[in-house]
Amino acid sequence: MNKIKIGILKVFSVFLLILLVFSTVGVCSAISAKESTLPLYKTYEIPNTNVVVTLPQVIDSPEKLKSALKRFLEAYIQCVKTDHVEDFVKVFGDKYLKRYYAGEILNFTIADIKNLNSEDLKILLDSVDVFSINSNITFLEVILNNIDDLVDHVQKLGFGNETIDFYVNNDLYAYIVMSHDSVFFGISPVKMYILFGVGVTINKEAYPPIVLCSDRTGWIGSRYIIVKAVKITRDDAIKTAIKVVKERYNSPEIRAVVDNGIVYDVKYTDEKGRGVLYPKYLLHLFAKGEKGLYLVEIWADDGSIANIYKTGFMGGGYFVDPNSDWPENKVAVIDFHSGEIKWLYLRNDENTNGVRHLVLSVFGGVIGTGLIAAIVIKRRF
Amino acid sequence: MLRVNFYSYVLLLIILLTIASNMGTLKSTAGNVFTICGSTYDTSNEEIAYWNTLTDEIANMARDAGYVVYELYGESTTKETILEKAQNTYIFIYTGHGKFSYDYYELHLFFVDNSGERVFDFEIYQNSNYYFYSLDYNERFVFLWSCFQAGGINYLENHIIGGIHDSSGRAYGMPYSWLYTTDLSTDGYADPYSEYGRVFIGFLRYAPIITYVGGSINEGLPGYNPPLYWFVKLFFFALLKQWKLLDPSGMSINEALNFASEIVWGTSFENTSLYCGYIIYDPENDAYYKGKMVVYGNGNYILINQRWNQNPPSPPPIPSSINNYAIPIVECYSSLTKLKIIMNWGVIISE
Repeated sequence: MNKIKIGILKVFSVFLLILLVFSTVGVCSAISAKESTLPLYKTYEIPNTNVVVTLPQVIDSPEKLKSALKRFLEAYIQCVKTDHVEDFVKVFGDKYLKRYYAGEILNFTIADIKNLNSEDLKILLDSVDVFSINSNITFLEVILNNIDDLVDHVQKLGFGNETIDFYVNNDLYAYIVMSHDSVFFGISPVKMYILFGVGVTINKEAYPPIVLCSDRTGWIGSRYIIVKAVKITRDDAIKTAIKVVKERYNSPEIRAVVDNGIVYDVKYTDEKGRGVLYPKYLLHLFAKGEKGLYLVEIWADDGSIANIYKTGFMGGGYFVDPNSDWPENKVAVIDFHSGEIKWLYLRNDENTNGVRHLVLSVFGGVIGTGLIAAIVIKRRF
Repeated sequence: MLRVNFYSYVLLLIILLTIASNMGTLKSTAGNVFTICGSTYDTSNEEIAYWNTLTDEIANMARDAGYVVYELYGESTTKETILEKAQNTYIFIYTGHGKFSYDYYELHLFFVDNSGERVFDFEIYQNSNYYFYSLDYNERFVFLWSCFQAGGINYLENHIIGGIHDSSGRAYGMPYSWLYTTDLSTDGYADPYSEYGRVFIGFLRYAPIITYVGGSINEGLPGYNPPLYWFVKLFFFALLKQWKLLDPSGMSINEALNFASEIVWGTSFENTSLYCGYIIYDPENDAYYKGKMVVYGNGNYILINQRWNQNPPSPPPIPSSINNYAIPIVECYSSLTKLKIIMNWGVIISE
């Protein structure tokens, strides 16, 4: 009996031993499996510097995007400050920046361009400007300080959703293009040409996951001066736009206006040859029963006309009144970015002038009568 | 004696080559033809003015690049001319209104000539046949700045390369009609491939008029506005004119798109709203829609005249006919005649 018991105990202990071995192996495997799902990071060293950047191999959340962008920008600013931009580009430049700095594109001599006409020469020199890095550290730091807000905006759009959108605050304008596996940030101080471009690969491995596409922030102050001078209200700009379109294009009946917001453009060139950028309203006007639209750009500082075209789409439709009893003095104003629709009531100039004339006549009459009466009374007494 | 025989053979060879090449030249003209058409039908004066300038500029660039150019914007853009050019054009550019139709109880795409007459896809297909089969060419680049020519009917990403309708046997789809193949990438920018060197650029849904700006189509770099006008101009500038100075390794369709986008909008083509899809307000339906520019086929394709002195990334087969401009000029000396002979693929062009 004891022998049987001992035998059972032996078998049981062997079983326990096997169980222990297997469970140990299992735990080890589980730990290693867990380790493999932990976020993995890769460190990038910028040659000829002591700058290192540690970035996730996969940026798959807004939090990772925030921290990765911050590390990337901090390293970039450090390289700009220490004059190691070319070294940074070797690691983090996009295809064209790398090729430009490797001398593979836009690498021509004076002899090559000496016979070019002025327009060709301008385009070529502008191309070189566009592909060269020209930094403004102050503005780069503004971008760095706004990373949280920028990424919060991306989160609001839905991280990884296909979208094109704009982010605007007082110091920053960002043009954001997002797909399921990439986000592009095109950044400027105001809504204008993109001065700083960064491309991010999301939701999949990339080495590196962030690339510098362009840095022309140094144009601020050297090539362009920005004047933030919005003195005209949107409603006044729309009224002016309607007026000039009616004057120029045989009085179309404007029923809707799409407000594309304010953009900045060169209004004049200063004595140093810098373009002075002013804000302008960019409006699309739709007329009842007409094909296409009228594009009107109005300077927001003084209400003058910057541009006016009849434009639209190569096959686009007619504007159809959604509401037949739409009053003639009412225009739908659609905010392109928010989609919000407001109604703008246009003043009936003829009636208003009539009322103004009547008021002035009565007022003038009263004053005139009073004056005559005063003179008569003064003479009598 | 032997020496005389040898020189006789050489002379005979040169004579034969000359005759053969001249015959080839007659046949090869189409492989070098660059046609720019454009309809002014239902188009604003500003738009006409811009396209007049732009087509003129593109035509001059193409002439300088060695193409035989037919500049037909406006009244010369008739249906007959367009169909004739489908027979014998290597590069075809068109601007004007376009749409789709079910008039034949099946889907067809069309664009209009200068009088507003519709030119249907199947009509173009019938004429392209001559170019690809009778003249035996393999390469063609088509650029249609017009609504719906790449598809986008019902929903934006409805790419229409085309094919043959089973019921009628008629061809449909502009890419198929112009390029005579369905073996085309629907995203020739990001995933370039096609049969031979055939590339189509067109629009899904609405194509913006060249003066359009707004919505998600941003203003360009100061000095480069209206942005779409400059985008098209710089695309052809990169493709035809100063490509050697921009990129000595050769300028493909995709690289030219990138260069134009970088200058105009400050980013490569893949990040522009033209490629990603721009949002437009469509007043007809009181709704927002997207439009999109697409490249079908091989975006890495380099035009014939831009690759004569370098190795393209993936050269398509050279047309069987002889092309005066496609092949490098070769210099050689005849020890018999002591004359310098400059040969352009066998054609003696100078003695």
